[in-house]
Amino acid sequence: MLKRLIRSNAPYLRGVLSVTLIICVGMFSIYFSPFGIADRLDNYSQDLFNTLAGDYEIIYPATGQDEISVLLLTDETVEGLYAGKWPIPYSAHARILNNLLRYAPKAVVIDFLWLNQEKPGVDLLVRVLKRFKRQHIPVYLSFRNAQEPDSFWPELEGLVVPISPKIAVDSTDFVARNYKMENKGLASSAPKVYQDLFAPDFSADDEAGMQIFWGLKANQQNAAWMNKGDAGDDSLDLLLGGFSAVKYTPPYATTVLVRDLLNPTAESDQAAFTDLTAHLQNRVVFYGGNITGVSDLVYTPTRQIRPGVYYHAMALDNLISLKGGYKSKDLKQTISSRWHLNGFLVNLIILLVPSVIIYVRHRARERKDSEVALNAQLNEQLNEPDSQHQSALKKSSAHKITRHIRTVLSILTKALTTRLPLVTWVLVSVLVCFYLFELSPNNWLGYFAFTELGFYLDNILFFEKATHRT
Amino acid sequence: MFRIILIVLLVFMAGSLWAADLQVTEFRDMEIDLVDPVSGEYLKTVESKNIAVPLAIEKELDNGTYLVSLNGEKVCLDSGAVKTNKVYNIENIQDCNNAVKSNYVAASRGLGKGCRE
Repeated sequence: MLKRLIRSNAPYLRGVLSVTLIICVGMFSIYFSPFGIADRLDNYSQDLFNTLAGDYEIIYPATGQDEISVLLLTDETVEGLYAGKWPIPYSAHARILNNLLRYAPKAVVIDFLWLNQEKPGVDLLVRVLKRFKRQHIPVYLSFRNAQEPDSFWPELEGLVVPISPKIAVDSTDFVARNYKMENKGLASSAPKVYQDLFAPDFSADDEAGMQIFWGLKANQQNAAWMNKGDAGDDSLDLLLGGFSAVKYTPPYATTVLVRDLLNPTAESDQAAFTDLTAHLQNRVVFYGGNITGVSDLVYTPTRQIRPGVYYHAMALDNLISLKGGYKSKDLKQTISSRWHLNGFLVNLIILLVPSVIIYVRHRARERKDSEVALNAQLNEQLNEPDSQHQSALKKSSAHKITRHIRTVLSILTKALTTRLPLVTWVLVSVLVCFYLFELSPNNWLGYFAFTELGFYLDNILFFEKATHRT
Repeated sequence: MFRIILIVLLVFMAGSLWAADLQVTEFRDMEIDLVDPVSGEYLKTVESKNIAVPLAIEKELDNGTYLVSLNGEKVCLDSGAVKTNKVYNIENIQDCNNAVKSNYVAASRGLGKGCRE
């Protein structure tokens, strides 16, 4: 009975078996990662997508750019004011913060760990932080763990909101693209500030974590003080050869140097004040440093080297620009329950279409080959008298050239017509995953590799042989 | 010769008069933190409404502060905290350079507790 059923449905079963086999190969190539090769490819795909598409508003709206600024303390200022002594006294931070307060920022995020036990200048610091409190401007301060605010800084109780400054560097390539939502019982700055000031209902999906999408829109406010520099690879270079250089471009986040805040110089007092107001007022200001000895630097997904403070600023920019819908590597709990999906199922659906196309194409070719063989046999029998004429024609050089051109054109047409739907499908899938499922675009190179693998396996009749044996 | 000397003297006097004329015309902040001009240490905070303007600026320091005399005491206050009658010459690179400098401390980086002033 079963045998009869199998025999009567043999072509369909063979099709199902072939497609299943193709999908299995695809899933295996996605999930099996010897020596972390797949993980590295995923990261690389994500970074390429970010670099190629990060400049387009439709992919990454730069709405956060007007909400955030970075106040950068540099070696030059530390050298000039404190003869290079680090850490600088708290009265120095207090002076900087007090100068910042004049421009009424929306909030201040301090990306320094204040660990000096002697606490020089703490009186002025407390005084300045009280001014912030009086003006209802929240100040977020970095701590190493949830106990530190009480044990080390009781003076600042009620004056600062504790946050974690943890930077998560990817162990596979040391790029800072992943952002932890919390660390050692402390919320990271980006989700905390976003929840407090922009979206009280926002809840970070801790397990997923954020994959930072690095904005690339040129910031005109930075162009005034930093040369455009070496932009590194252009789009064509990237397509042809991938990343090959570090970029030296002005930062995405609006940046103010501490020296310009402490010693404002312009055409007039008022001009300096107006300019600083445009850079700082009603913005979340991340106060951090580019201090050589501290080595708080990150390597960004778009191949730039930046002080760590920009990493936190960009994470908040992601939350603001994407309205809380930050990208993650795995499906977030909220998305997965809304769509009744998980990552495995998403990959399965994406791979199903190419698998079916590859199989259908294979069957069509098989049928065509047998028809061609049959026609050739018939022609041979019917046109035997003309064979001498035909062979003479075939030997002519003009005919040879035409035949070669036809063959090349046929190969190109086939390659395009079969691959174009697959390329379109992969692109559509990646965009659906990006927008709808809020997934980082890290599998697209893998999907393309899989479809190419399908063609190669098909060409060497791998599936045919495998399913016939079974 | 006498005329030339007279003109040079007049130019110098005019320059010194202009320098003395540099003054605070208004305060931006309600509270002004005063700093010791020698050590750079924080001294005290005063309410700006209690300081009479115009207030003569004795010296413009490279650390972004102005040296002034308040009740006979020489103190420094942040340049951003006040409005002044200063005329900026942004065509001059020296005037445009706002790199902050001070000679408050000599310090080593990271050895012991660092040098004290």
